[in-house]
Amino acid sequence: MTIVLALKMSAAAGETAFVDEAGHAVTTSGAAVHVADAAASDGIAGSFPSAGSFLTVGPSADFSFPAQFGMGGWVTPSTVAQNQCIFSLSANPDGLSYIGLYQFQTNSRLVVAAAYQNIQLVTGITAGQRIHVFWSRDADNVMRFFVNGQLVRTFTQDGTIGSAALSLLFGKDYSGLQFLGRLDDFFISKGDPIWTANFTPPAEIPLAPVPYSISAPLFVLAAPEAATGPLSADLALFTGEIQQAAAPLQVSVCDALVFDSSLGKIYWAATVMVGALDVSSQLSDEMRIEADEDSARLASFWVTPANAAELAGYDSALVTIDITIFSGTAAAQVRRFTGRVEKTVFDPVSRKAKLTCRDGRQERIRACGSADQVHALLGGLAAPCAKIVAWSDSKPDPVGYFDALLATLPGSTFIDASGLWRVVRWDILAPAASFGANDIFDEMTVEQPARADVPSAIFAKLTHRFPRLHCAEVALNWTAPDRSEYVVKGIPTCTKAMVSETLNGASDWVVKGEIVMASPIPGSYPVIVGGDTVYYNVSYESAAFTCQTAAATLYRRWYQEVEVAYSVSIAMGGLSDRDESIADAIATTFDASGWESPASTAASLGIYSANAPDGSGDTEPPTGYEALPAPYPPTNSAVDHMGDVSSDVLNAAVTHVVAKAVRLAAAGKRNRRLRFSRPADPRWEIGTPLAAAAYGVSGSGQLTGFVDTYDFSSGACVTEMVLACPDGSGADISYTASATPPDNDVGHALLAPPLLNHIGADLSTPDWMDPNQLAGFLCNTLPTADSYDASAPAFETQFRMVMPEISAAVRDPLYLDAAIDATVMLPGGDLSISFGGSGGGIH
Amino acid sequence: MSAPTLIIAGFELPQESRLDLQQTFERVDGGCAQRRRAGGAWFSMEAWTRWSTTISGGGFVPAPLLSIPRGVPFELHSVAPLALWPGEDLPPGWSARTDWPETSFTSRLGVEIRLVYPILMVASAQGARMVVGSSTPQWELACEEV
Repeated sequence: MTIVLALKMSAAAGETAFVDEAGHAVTTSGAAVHVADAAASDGIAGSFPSAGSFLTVGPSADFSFPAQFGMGGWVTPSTVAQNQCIFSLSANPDGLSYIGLYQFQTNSRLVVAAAYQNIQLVTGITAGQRIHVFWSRDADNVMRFFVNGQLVRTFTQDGTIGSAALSLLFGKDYSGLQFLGRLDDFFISKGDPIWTANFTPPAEIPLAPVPYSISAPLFVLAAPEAATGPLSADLALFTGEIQQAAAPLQVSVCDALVFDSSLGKIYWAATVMVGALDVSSQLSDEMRIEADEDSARLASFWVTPANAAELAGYDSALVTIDITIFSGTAAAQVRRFTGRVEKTVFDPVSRKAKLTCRDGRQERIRACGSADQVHALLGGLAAPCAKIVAWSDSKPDPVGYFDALLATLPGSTFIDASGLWRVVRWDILAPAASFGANDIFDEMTVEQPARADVPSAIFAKLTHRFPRLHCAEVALNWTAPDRSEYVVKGIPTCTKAMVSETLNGASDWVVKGEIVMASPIPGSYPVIVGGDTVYYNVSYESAAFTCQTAAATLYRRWYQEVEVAYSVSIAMGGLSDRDESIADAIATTFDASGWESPASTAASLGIYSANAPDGSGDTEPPTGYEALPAPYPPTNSAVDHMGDVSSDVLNAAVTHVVAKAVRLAAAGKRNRRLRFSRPADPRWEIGTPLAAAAYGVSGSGQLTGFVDTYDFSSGACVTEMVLACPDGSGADISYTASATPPDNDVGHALLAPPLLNHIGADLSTPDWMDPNQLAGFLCNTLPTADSYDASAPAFETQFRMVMPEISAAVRDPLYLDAAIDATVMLPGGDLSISFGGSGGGIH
Repeated sequence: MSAPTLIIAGFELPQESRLDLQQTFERVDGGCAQRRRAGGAWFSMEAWTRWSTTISGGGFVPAPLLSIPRGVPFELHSVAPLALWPGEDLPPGWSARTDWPETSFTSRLGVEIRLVYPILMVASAQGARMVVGSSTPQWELACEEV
């Protein structure tokens, strides 16, 4: 192990000079300084308190890492409210060699930028939180990222990281993105990853070789999302828990030369542990290990137990299976299965027991106790939407929740040979290995997808039901008849009570605010009757109860059920007209009926008898909608009430539906498969891109499943592989989806018949009037009046009002269509079939 | 000229029991499979190799020979030598007799040959078989390496 950088940051508080114990010169810029830090093991840490505070180290050939390395230290951000760079190179010339540690404001997360990958380490960090961050690369180019000693991410990245020509910056990046906070004990090891499994963060820089942790991590992501450029992508959240393995540590020694089929012969052996017992020498007949996407890995084998106690001990025992292959002078030992005995069938005649083992996939899922844990099992790649698939803390159903979200995963899940839960995207990358005619056995099949797998298109539809809340207002005005009518025709006066009862009693309509009624002014008013002057007297007593004018605004609130169907079609290119649709529905949670109901009587009673607030001074102006629940649509308009279905929720639901369609489409295309067998090759896990060519068939795709067969009687050891070679384009599976609710341009212009005065039993009374127009004060001429006409229609004395009806177009349920704005990329694997000669081929 | 003694399960067979002695060595069927590759080439996969040996002789058939238990391993000190090249090892699990140690000689064509009298740990599934009715009693013992 060679420590090429050791910034212990242990000088006295106030010291601005920083020392690299490995001997490189360190330049201090700005206000970078040592400060007292009680959390540090030596009580001192490096502080970067303001803009322009940073350290520069190098350049040096020591900071170019073509192979193994390890680097990290303690980080304490003083704020998480801004984007900041903790450590980086002084430039980013080609992206591939770039390395940097960042903290981003969104989700308060730490991110390592390595080559073109943005590796999210952890989210939700807080200002002042001291975190140990470490990442390493081993001899197989596997990069591992640890937070506080716990493995959080891995991926494979070859090529040189770092640069001999660039300096290292602590406290900012090459673009000037400043870090505010503290660093402590930052170090770099060259040639040795230091830690490749969970570890206890050291209090100080490990200047001497440290023992590896013996605990094996169990949670990795097989392939991270690739960024479109350094620091430009926003990764999915990953907050997976690390569970400790109970199985013996896997030991893999693998010389690729062993799998060179040109040697013509291999020797093999199997090491099978059942519990603590090595039963390798007791195996017979056939051992079979099979694995498939989104399925448990199964292993079955025959073993001859030494005694009944051993047979009894097989029950639920932990099982590991290692395969050793020798060829020439090369050897490979690979773990191929980790799991437990599920079933034992004992044949007393032959004294052999057949053990069937599973990898514990179901248990892993059932062990989830929260939605976040299920999301982590899916690598953060699923598209959860609580409105469609809800998690219940009171009645948790992790299996159901997992299965529902699995339908949105653009990839697959499995437990690998070491018992690690893995998630792999359905990308079709460059093959990790290619097998020719001399590498596979004399059998190969090509499976084309069924008609049902590749319809002409797959439709994704999300229906959102929500209430459209309407509000219409009608202004009403009325003026009492001319005083001469009272004198000549003897009609009665219209009382305030009569007006109030009518206006307040309108069905479905509510008076906005108060009814403004004016009384006649008491006094004697001359009226000319037949050339004579008659005085009409209005007494003080009667004036109080009489309505001379009335003005009111009546409003009506109602809801209309609206269903918007957001849809998108994913062209599949198939010839089948089968309807392959993905449909989900969400609804805004809202008591529309309660909203529509008028305020209760108690709530609608007037509060003020005088000097009511009118908005002047410090008073709030009355709205007229007091005691009514929100929301309040604009006057004579409507508002689409989304309620709990915000824009984010809607987009999450749309994404969920599109994700299901994408998975369905990709799964269908992936049923174009290439199946072949070759000598036992336990190197490859599900998701590995491979290629094969023989018999005029050439295909490259992703390993979706395999069956290993080891026959102890015949000596045969065969691996049958299945590659998915979907018909698509590009290497990556990806999609985007969003939707915008349609605009609402509703407007109401309701008109009520004018409130007039209608006098019946009079010579002037029409024989018939449209009842819908008879609105206002209805009364009758006195029989003693000259104009009395007994044959004319006579009215019931009343104050009558006819309110407009609400049209069906704004009342009945409304169905609208809208488009989902989506882009879908389905990757493609090559598959060509040639029948030889000059006849070309089928592709 | 003396000859190595034939020792079966610790019992040294007398000369009169090993008239017309014959011993064969052949591989036990299994443990090695062959398939053709797509290009036509041969490919072999081997998990184990075991040998079977059949010894037959005539003359007086001693009782211990017939009482060899079935399926129980025993040592077989062979009288049929194996010829090995210089530097070649005995098959795994075999050992060389020390009472009749290895000898070497060079053939007329100048080829050096080593002669080794092997000891095998074998078991017999059927036990010894005796045939009476020809000029002398015949016996046969078929064993497989355990």
